[in-house]
Amino acid sequence: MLTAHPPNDRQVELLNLHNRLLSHDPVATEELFTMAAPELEKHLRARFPSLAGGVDPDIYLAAVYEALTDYFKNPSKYDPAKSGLMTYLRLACRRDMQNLLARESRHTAGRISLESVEFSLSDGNDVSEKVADSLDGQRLVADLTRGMTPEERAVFSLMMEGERSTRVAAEAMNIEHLVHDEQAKRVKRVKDRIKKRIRRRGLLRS
Amino acid sequence: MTEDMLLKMSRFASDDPFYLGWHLARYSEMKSLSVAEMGGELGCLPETVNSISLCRAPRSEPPHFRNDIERVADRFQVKAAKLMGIVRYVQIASDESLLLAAKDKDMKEDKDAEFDE
Repeated sequence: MLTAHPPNDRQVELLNLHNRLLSHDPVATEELFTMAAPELEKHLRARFPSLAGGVDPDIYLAAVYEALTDYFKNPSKYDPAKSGLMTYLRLACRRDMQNLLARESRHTAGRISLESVEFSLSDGNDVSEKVADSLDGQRLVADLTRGMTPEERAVFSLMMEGERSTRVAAEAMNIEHLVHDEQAKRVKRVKDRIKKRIRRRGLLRS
Repeated sequence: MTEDMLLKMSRFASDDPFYLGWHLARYSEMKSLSVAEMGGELGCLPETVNSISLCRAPRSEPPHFRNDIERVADRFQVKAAKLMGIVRYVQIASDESLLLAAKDKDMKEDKDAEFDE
């Protein structure tokens, strides 16, 4: 049996803002920024507590901005029947944060690659293997995630971060409205599918 | 939202024509105005200019354009006529620069064609 909690005042307010966004109210975007951005930034800081050296610390805000802007431009992509708005936005923020971090990492790899060529030429040391290793890692992730459903991708990202909580995975899958047993069952199913993919590539023992 | 966060978000918004912030930023550039001076034109504090920047740009169709501008002006207690003037000014200037760019492109293509002949 599926159960859902009645919405609280804040959820009602957010739903009201969502409807105003759908009807092109021009101030709804500013109100949503004010209401949601601080909480979303806090969420990202908790989920991505440490950044690699050289990464712009404003990346959290950039991810929040991108997720909100994407939602503002396509508000109908959010379905209130499936999840709360903040749950939807938190997931969108995490995805944008991962994309921004991947972009930063590619950028850094490109920079390192050029630097290592210069370095090898200058003193004969070859450090390009380290760069190749990191690029292989990126390729492997790209290969593994190719063809994954959005919910598999979301859970896979959490697994990569070392996140083991069923509750967090259920939130990423937008199924937190379901009873706990059903959430656990669905999360396990997705995790099993992901592990099967990884095993097929010989990266995990059976 | 803290002032610092508001400032950074409004800077992001100034790069996207989806937001009113893009129009305000283009107007400030064209007129060499600081945020405080822009606030002076609109009759509000600089922080309010940053908040207005996060509003959606008005729809261009006549019945909606005025309503959207009035909605923003009403919410932030700024001069609707001034805000409307700023957005129109930027729209016209952008259209003109697009026309000039298209004209330059045509002239360059004509010259290239003459050269090829």
